[in-house]
Amino acid sequence: MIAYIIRRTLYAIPILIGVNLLTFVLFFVVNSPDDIARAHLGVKHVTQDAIEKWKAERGYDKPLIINERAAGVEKITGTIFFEKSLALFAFEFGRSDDGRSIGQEISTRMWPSLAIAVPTLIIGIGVAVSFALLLAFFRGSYIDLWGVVICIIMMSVSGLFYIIGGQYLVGKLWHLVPISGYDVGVHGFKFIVLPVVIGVIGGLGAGIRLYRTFFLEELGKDYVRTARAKGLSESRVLFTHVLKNAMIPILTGVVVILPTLFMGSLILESFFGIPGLGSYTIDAIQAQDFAVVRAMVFLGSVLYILGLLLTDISYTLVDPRVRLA
Amino acid sequence: MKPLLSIKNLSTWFETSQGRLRAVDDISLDIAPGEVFALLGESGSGKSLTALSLMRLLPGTARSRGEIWLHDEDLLRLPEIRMREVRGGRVAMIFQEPMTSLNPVLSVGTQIGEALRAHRGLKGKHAERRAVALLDAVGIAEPQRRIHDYPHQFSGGMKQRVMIAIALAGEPELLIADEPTTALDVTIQAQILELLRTLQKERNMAILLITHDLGVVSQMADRVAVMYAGEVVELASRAQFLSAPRHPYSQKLFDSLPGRAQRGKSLAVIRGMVPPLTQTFSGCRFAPRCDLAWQTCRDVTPALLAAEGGGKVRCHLYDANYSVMRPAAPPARLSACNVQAGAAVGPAAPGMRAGADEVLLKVTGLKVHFPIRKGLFKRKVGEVRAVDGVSLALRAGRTLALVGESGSGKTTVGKSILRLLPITSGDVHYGAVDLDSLRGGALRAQRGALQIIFQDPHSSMNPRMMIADIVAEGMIAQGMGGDERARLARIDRLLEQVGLSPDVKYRYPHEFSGGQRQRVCIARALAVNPRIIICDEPTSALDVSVQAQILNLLKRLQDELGLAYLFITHNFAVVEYLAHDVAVMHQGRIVEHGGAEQVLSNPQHDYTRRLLSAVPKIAHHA
Repeated sequence: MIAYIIRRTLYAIPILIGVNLLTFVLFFVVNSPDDIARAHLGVKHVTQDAIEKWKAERGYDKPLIINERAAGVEKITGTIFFEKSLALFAFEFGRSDDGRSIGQEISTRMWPSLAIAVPTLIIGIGVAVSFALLLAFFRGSYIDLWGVVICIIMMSVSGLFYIIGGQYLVGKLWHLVPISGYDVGVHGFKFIVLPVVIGVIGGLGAGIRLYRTFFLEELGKDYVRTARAKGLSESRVLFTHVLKNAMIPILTGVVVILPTLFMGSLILESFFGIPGLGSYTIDAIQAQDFAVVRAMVFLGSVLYILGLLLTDISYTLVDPRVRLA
Repeated sequence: MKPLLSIKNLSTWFETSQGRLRAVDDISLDIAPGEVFALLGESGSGKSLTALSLMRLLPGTARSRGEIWLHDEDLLRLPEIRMREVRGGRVAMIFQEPMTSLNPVLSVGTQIGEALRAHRGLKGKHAERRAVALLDAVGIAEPQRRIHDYPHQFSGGMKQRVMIAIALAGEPELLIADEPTTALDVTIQAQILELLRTLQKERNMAILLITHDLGVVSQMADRVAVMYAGEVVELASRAQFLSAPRHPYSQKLFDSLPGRAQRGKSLAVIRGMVPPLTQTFSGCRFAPRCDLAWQTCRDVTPALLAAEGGGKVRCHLYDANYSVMRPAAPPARLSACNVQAGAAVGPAAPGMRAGADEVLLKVTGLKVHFPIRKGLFKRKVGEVRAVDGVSLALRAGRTLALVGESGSGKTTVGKSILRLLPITSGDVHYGAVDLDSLRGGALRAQRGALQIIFQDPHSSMNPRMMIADIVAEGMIAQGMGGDERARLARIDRLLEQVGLSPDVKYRYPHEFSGGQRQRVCIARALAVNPRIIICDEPTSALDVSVQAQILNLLKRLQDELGLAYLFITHNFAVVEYLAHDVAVMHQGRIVEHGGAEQVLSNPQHDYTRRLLSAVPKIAHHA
């Protein structure tokens, strides 16, 4: 098990190097530091001096890969590739274009993101599994049929509709919660409720339908017939036998997104004015702040790889047949 | 004696798009306390659905009618909550597939415990103690420790023992065993049947044994009911049934068994197929396939009447009112007439028939090892010696049977000869060609000479390809068969040769029965003019009567085309019937090798003797 985790971690290194090289090419070769500076300073009436100054302030004045002018190790370390790209491996994200530390921003902004994402995920799974079990229990009946129809309608409606509709109804018409904003502690609760509810509703249709097919697949298996032949009640067959087996695909599907949760939701956070990492990324994209976008792309990759590793480990916990070696 | 279970006029049907499918049609049976009652039939006869009807475990779309009396309660009229007490309590059931019939994520102790809790009200320590005792009773060593194990930690035979332990938990009066040994090896089958016998005697428990295997019937049953097309056609004691089966269908079942007595002859086959059960029948359901039928059989539906000497039979031959009307000389039919001798395919390749005694395939010291990798860097820490030094020789026009139990490495031998698996060491020569040295194009060109037929005709064809494309694919890959038109003509001839109509070539595999699919697979193999066909358990997924057809076909093709067969099988009856030479495999090695007659009648190796003694003998009249 330990050996497996170490090996998987080693496998992750070439993937991360690939991600790193790719972002380096995209952010510094395809789009040169001069282009970035011009984009920020404005295309017209920009002197070369202003550009050089802007680059020097942010450390973009160095050569890309090899520094001919420096001596010794500096040849390598005094470059954009080393300072900006390789530094990501040490989680040194540097400073954003407006001069603030990106690492600092991430560590403060992840909490609002988590405050939204974690309840959304947990409540979402709970509700989706319950409804899916209900539909599986009444499989083939009208309850099942109409349940699936409603799921498909819910999947077909755009997420933006739930957000805007929810804000309009609950926030503007009924004045139950503020339309947007964020606060810490107990006072933050009223800001969190609506985005969480909308996040849950938005994912419900797809979730119920997916979990229902997991349950139905398990219900067709031989061991279910054995359980019935023992004289167990249908609810016991469903809850102990079917649920336990169906939890394997459900859980592994969830674990893989677990680490990426604190990256937040891009859309939800922007619409509700939550100062999380999702809105941070959106703002950075709008402001053409490549330093932030680059940091978030790299962080996202690391977390996704971590998620895949956790998925494989979680298999061993829920499925006695799986042993990692 | 008052019967334990009495089935009266039970019918089970499905509503399908083709109309009502009567899977079980008006059957009546009595099972006495403590007896072993066998329900014998081929696939589609309705025997499993009869059992599921008893347990009320039918799939949702099925409906049942009739009466099923367990003592003085009609199971079909019990409310579901009372039926649950019967299921697993008074009537328990075990299934064909022990591999999938246990829940993979619950320990066996938990799974036995559920039944103990539901029917004996036992919980916690008491339940555990009882579960250990049950595991012990079904012959699982160290039950105290094994009770916490999960199903995947048990072998197939052990899983079936666990299934039996679960079934015994409720102390049933009747155990329904649905093909309990079909998925198991012959030595394991013998052990499980022995166990069922012992438990049945100890507990005076009745067993309803559902099987397609005459050998199992002969070893286990007190009484037998034969099912055909949803009906019971014969009811007899074992002695009566084995010595003189009455119904023409029962007789045919015995006649289509391969064995030593049939060597060199064609096996009897039942022509045609089981009729679709969506139709309304007039007359006897077996009449279209019966050699003894006359007009009355097609007009008048026979009743299940008491026969002389006990038992019942559904046949006009035994009904004095009708048998007198039978024409004196019944139109004699050749039982093998449905296998039309098709035209030989094309001119044989030059030199193809040369030298009947020529050694076509010579395997020397073949080893196939699979590495076991472990640790941080997946270093090789050991190997599985699937095949460990196998030598054999196959001559033109002869059949070499490679016999062994599952896991003995026999299929690996077949696949590695075809280079479908990499060879670790050893030498495989086809004529003068060293097959292991071939690469790329040379290997592909050589593939025409050696072909394979797989066990499961259902999954060995691409379901999205038409029969014509399946048969043509090999020819195209080998660049043979000429242009499109010539190829189509050749496909027609191949299909005729395997006993199919050329019209089938634009149909898809799912439209065929198992036997027909296996014929298509044989046509596909023949398409590239092979000299050797590796037959990997080609009949073990098929019914006995269909098996006879396929064996006849393989035998005829061998005579016509001089094919050599490497026949991989675990079925000794097939070996006795077909093989010229036999090699017995055990744990990756050949433990005994020789002429079929010599190995089978005078086995030298212990393992061969053990295998042979485990084969259920059918004490038939011959």
